[in-house]
Amino acid sequence: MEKLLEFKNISKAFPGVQALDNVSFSARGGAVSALLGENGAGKSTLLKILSGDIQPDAGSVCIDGEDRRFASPYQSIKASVSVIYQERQLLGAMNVMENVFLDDLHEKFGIVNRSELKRKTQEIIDIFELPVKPTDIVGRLSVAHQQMIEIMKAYRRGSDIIAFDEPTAPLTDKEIAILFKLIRELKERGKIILYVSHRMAEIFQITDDIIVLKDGQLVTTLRTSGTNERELVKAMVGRDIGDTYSNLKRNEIMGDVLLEVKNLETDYVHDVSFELRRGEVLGFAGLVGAGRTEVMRAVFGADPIISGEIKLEGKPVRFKKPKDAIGSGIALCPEDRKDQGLILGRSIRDNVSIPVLSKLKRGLFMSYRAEEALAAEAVRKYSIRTPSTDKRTVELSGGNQQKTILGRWTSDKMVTKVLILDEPTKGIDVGTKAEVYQMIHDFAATGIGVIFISSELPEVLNVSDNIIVMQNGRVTGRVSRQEATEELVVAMSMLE
Amino acid sequence: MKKIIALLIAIMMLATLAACTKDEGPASPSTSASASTSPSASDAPSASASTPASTESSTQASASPEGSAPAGPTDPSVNANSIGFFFDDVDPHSRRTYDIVWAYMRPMALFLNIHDAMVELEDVLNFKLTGYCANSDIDAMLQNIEIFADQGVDGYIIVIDATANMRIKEVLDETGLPYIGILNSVRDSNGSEIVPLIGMEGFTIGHMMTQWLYDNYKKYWGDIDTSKIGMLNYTFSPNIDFHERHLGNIEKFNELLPGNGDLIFPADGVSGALDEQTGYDLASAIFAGHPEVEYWFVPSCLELYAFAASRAAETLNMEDRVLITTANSDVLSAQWDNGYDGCFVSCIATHALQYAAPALSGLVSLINGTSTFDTLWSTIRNPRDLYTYFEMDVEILTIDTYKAFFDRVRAESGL
Amino acid sequence: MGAAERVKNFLKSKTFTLLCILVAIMAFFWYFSANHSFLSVRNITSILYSMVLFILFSIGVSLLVIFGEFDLSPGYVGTAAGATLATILSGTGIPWFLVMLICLLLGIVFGLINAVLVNKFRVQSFIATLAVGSFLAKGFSYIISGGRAIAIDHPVIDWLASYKLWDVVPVTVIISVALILVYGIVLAKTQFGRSIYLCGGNKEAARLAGLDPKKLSYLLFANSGMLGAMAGVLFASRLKSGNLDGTNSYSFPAVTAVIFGGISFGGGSGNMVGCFLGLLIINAFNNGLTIMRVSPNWTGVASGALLILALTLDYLSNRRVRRQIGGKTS
Repeated sequence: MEKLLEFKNISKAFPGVQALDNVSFSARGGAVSALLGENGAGKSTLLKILSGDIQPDAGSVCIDGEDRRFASPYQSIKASVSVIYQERQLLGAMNVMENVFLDDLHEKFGIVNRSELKRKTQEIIDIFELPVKPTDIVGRLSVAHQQMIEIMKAYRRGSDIIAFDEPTAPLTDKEIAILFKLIRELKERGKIILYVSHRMAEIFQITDDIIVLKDGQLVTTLRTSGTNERELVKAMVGRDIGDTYSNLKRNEIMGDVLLEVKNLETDYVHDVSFELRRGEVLGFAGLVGAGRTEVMRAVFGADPIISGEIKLEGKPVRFKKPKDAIGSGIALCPEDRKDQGLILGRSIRDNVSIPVLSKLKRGLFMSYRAEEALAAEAVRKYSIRTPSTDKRTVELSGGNQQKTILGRWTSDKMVTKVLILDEPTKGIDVGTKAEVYQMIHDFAATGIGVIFISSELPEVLNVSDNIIVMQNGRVTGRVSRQEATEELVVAMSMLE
Repeated sequence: MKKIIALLIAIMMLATLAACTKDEGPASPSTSASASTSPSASDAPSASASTPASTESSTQASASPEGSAPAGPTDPSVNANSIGFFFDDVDPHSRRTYDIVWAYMRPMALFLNIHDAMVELEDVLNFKLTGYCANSDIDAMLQNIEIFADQGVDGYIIVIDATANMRIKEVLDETGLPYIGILNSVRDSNGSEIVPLIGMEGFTIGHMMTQWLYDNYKKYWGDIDTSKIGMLNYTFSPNIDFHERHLGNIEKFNELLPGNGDLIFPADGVSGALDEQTGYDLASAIFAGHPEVEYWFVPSCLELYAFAASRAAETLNMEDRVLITTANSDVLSAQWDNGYDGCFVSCIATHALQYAAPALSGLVSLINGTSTFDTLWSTIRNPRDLYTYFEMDVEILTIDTYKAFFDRVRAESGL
Repeated sequence: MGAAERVKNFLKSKTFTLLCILVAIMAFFWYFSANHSFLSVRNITSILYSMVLFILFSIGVSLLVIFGEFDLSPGYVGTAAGATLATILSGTGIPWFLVMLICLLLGIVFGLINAVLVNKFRVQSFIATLAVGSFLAKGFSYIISGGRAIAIDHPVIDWLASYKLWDVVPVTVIISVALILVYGIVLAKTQFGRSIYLCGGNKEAARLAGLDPKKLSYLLFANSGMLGAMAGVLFASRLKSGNLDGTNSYSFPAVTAVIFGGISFGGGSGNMVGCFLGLLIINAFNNGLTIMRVSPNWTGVASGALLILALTLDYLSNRRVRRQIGGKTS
C-alpha cells in the first residue's frame, strides 16, 4: 500500500503573525514533494510541526490515514519521520557508525557490540555507495558527507517520511548530484520525501509535485512536469514580476574614477587591483571563498592590509578601522547580516543611527526627535514593513533587516560615496530582491559607486555594469556586462 | 499577576525572618524612661562579704543559681586572680533590662561560645543580648556600631579588630556609650592600654606556653638530648596580641634553652590569612625544611594554627616528635571529648564564661553608673595602662585536667 | 509612544519589579522595627552610608557588564589605593590633593592593564581582572605599605570621613549619589552611553557600523579602576588606616548587585537605576536585619534568599520577552 502523509487544516499562530492558516495538502510515498515559498511563507513551521518541535493550534497531521500528534521530536522519530535540517544534528566527536546508530547501539548488558555496528553501517554505506567509512570521525567530514550521515540515520531508523530543509545550500555541484542520487534511491524504496527549497533549478530537477505556500496559506499544488519557472514565481509572489532584470531601470551615467585599488595584499588576498567609477555598479563574482569579502573588508578597514595602494577620489588612503573608512564615505553591508550587520537586540531606530550618532545630538544629549526622524525616513524610503521604528531588528524578516542596514548607510546625515554590498539578497524572497536591484541602480544614479558581491550568477551578471571575477584570493577576470556570459564567468571562477 | 505573587513571596519570606528573630518580636524595649535606678547602696553587705582572701575562687558562695544574683563579695581586689566577677550591690532585677551588643569580626568558635555563655547569663544579670558578626568587614562594623547606638542600645562588648583599632575606638567613643573590649588590646604610642579589656597578656601567655612545654616534654619524649629541640613559633604580625605571644615564646625559650637560639623558626601568618591552610603551609614547609631539628616545640598563638601544625606533623609522620600547645582553645576541648589524642597536647584553655562573666558584669556596672572607665577594676591595673587590662586567670590544661577546670569555672559563675 | 503605553511599559519593566521589592522591604521593616526607627532620618542615612563604597564599585562594573565585559578587580584596586594613600600621606609631605590624584591615577593604571590584557592578549575579562586584582593589586598593597596597615592622621581625611552636610548627610554619600546620577544620565542619554549599549549588543557589528569598541574598552576599564581607587580612598579615610584587607571582598558583592539590578551578563541591557535600586534593596535589607536583631547565623541565609527571590522574579519577567521572540519558555 502506498504511504500517505497528509496535513489537514493546519493552523499556527505566533505573537504578531499567523504562520500557517488552514493549510492542507498531501504527499505520497515514492515521490518527492517540494515545499516552495518565500521566506515567511510557512515552510519551516510546517516542518517543525511534522517533527513534533511545535504543536499546531488547529488541524492535524495524518500518516497512512491515522491522525497523529507529536508532542516531541522523539515521538515523531518513533512514528517514522526524519527531518534533516540545515544545521547538522550530529555528534562531531563520534564516528559514523556511532552517529547512525545513536539510539540503537546494539548493546548487551551495557556493552556496545562494535563489530555488529560496523557491519550494519557498512551495509547502508554500500546501498547508497557513499564515500565514507564507518569509523570516520564525523566532525572531520565535509558538510556534504555529514549530510549523507544524516540520511543514513534516517534510513536506518526505517523512516518512511524524510524531509529536507534547504539541503543544497552548502554543497558544491558535484555533491548536489550525489545528494540527488540518494534521494532518488530513497524514492525508489517508496519513501515520502519532502523537499523544501528556494532554488528553482533544483525543483525542476528532482521533484515530482510542488506545493506552493505564500504568507502561511496554501496557494496551489502542481505537478512539476506540468509547470514552469515563471508560473511558479507568479504563484509564490502573487504577481507577475516578469523579467526582473529587463524591468530594471539602469543608471547609465558614470563619472570619473572614485575608488582605485592597486596590488592589494592581505592575509587572504593577493595582488588585487580594480577601479570603481561614480555611478557604476561593479559586480564581484566567484565561488564562496574566492576572497571577495576579504578584499572589501580590507578596503573598509575591518581587516589589516599587508601592502597595496588605495585611493579614494584621487587621494591615497589607508583605513585602520571601519570608523575611519565610514568617515571618508565608504559603507559596507556585511555578508552576515545578523551577526555582523545588525545589533539584533536593538530597535530599527538604534541600528540606523549608529554611524551618525554624533550628528543626532542636541547639546550634550542624544535627541530622540532627530533619531526618530532619521529612522522614520529610512522606513518610508525603503518600505520597511514594521509598525514602528521601535521594533527590535531580531523580529524583522531577512529582507527588512537588509533594508534597515541600507537605511543606515543612505540616510541624509550620511555622506556615502562608495557603497559595498556583500550578498545583499541572501535569504531574501524574490519580490524583495527585485526591489533591491532597483535600489542599487537608484543609488548609482545619485553618483554613488556601488560594489555588488554576489554568488548568484544571474544576479551579478544582470545587475552589474562591470564584473570582476575572483578565485582563490586573486582577480582572474574582468568583463563588462555586454561581454559576460555565464560560462565565461564560471570558467574564470573555477578553472586555472 | 506575577508581581503580586512576587510581593506575596517577599512578604512571606520576611515574615518567616521575623519569626526567627528574638522572641520579643516587634515590640522592643527602647521605651521611655526608667532611667537606670541608682544603685540603692545596700548597707548590709551581702551575705558572704567575708571571704577568704585566698586566690582560690572567691565566690564559694555558690549562691543560689538563677533568680537572684549570687551574693558575691564587694571587694573587687578579692576577685583579681579568680575568674572575675565584679558585683555591685544592686539587684539586677530591680532595674530595667539592659540592651547589650556583642560584636565581633569573624564567626570563630571562641566568639560563638562567648555568645552562648553570655546568653546563659542573661537572666542572672538581667539584660538582652544581640550578637553581631561583621564578617571581616570593618566598614560594616563601624557603621553598625553607629546604627546600634541610634537604636538605643546600652553598651557594647566588642572584639576590636587590630588593624583598624584606633578608628573603631573613635567611633565607639563618639557614641558616648560604655564598652568593654575582648582579646585585642588597643594601645597608644606609649604602649598604654586605652580601652578596658578582658584578655590574656601576650608576653605572659608566651612565657607560660614555652615554660610548660619545657617542664613537660620528658613525659612525652623521655630523656632526650635538649640541644636537638627547636621551636616552630607562629605569629600573625598585624595583631599585636598574637605577636606578643610570639615574642614571649622567644624570650622564654632563649632563657630555658640558651644554646638553641638558631633553632627558633618564626612562622608569620600575614603571608596568607588567619586560617588553617596558611598555618598548614607554614608548618609543612618548616618541618620539612629543617631536618636538623629532631624535636619540635610548637607554642602557637592561635588555635587554628595549632591544629594546622598537628595535621602537618601527621602528614609528615612526625607526631611523636612534635608537641603543640596553644593559647585559647575552644575546639580542642571538644576534640578531647571525642577522644582526640594527638601531638596537640595541651592548651591554655579558657572557658567562654571567663570572658563573658567579667565583661558583662563590668559593662553592667558601667551602664548603671557604679563605675567608669577610670574606676573599673582600677585596683588591678598595670600602672602603665590608662584603663584596665583584665588578665584572665588561665592555666595550661591537658586532656586529663580540663574537665575539672571547666566545672570549676561554671560553678564560680553562678551557673 | 503615547503616555498610556509608556506607563504600561514601565509596569512591565525590571525597574518596577525592583521598586516593588524595595517598597515591600521598607514597609515591612518600618512596621516591625522599634519605634518604626527603620525609616528615621538617621537610619536612612546609615543605609545610604553603607552603600557608598558599593555604589562606586558598581558604577564601574555596571558600565563594563553592559559593554559585555567583566571586572572583578575594583575591590583589590581600592585596597591598593587605600594603602597608597596611607603610605604617601603619612610618610611624605606631598599635599593631599596630589596624593589623591596619585591614587586615582593608580586606579587608572590598573584599569589600563586590564584593558591591555583583554584587548591585546585576548584574555577573558573575568580571568584577566581577577588576576590583576587578586595578584597585582593585592601584591601592590603589601609592597607599598610594607605589609602593615599604616594609620592616617590628616585633617582633610578626617573631614572626608566625618563631615556631615547639615549635620546629617555625610560627604561621601553626597559624592557617591552625585556620581551615580551623573553616570546614569551619561549612560542613558549621551552618545557615549549609547555606544556602550550598542557595543554590548554586538561588538563586531558595532565596529563595522562605525563605533570604536577598542577605545571604549580602554576607557571603561580605566574608569572602573579609577572609581575603584576612589572607593578605596574613601574606605581608608573611614578606617583612618590603609587596611590591607580593605575592600578586597567587595568585588563579588558589587557584581551581585549589578546582576540584582537587572543588568544581564550577556551585555547590552540594563541601567543605572536598576543598579541603584538593587544596592538600595540589599543594603536596606541588611540594615533591617541588624535592627531587628536577627541572629548572625540567619543573616546569611536571609540575604541569600533575597538574591534568589530577585533572580526568580527576573526569570519570570523574562519569560514574557522570550515568548515574544518565539523561543522556548522553559
